[in-house]
Amino acid sequence: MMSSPQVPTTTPFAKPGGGGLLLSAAPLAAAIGVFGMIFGAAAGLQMDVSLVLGMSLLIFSGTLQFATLGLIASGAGVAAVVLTALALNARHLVLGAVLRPRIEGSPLRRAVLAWFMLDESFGLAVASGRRASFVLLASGALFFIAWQLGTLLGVLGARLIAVEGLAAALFPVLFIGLTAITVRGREGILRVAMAAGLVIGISLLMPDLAAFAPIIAALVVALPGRVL
Amino acid sequence: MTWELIVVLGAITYGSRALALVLLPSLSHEVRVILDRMPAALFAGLAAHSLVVPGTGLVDAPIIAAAAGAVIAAPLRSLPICLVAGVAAYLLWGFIA
Repeated sequence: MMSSPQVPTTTPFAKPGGGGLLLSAAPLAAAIGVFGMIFGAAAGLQMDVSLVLGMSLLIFSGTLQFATLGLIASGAGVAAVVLTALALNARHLVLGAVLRPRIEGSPLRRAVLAWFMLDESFGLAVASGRRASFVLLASGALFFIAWQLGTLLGVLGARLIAVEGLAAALFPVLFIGLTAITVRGREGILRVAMAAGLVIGISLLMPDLAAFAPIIAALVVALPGRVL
Repeated sequence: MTWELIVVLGAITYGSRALALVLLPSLSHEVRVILDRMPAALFAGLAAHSLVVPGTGLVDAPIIAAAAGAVIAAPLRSLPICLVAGVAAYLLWGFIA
């Protein structure tokens, strides 16, 4: 077994005794399943069932799949869809770089684990205090199953009308929760507040840059301060 | 939507996930310190991004209420509790308004 190269797997993000992994992952899996169901129901109205299921199997990204659905419905071309995918996925470069020192093993093993690196599984991996590779695999696999099942139920006609409005609210709620478990100290809270303010400012004043605003803001607020 | 576009989008998404995790060489301590500061800020930025309609203003009030509920629960540093608080605030807003 290869050892982790640089960073101990119990990270500064870790919250000792922060509850079981299943306890943390199960509500997220339920939310992801609901998202999947809403996606499946909406996409099933626009395209063939096999394409809807193929999207969830091969893309496995709720953010991008919902965005693609909206773009296609508005008549956007392939170039717009691909550019949106590049913009939305840019954050994965940061998440992967943060996880890299915490994930041990061969490149092939890391390549397999990369499939399961969602925002949610990343948050749990850096915050749980457990071995990051295990958390990534276990939670990511659970989220994958939830997403596929949700999509399948959605295309089969399942509807959750009561929660469809709630789905839009779950995005910020999930990201606030992920912020809460990954932020460290007062300095971290200050950086988080500045990043949120920057994103709102960029989105309102320079809407063309809105898709890139989160990654720009995260970089801008991460740079100041001591690094030694 | 075509199968070709799905494959391209899948490749972009997986490639972005794998690029740094698989190919990134060992990083210096300084770079790691800066990178470790980014996830929380990135998630906060994504939360803020989902509360704004670019060039227009904020999203609907129930979504803001849900976000406020999650922020109130944030000091507890628990993802499930934030989720429950957000949903509760969303439902409460619907009940009041």
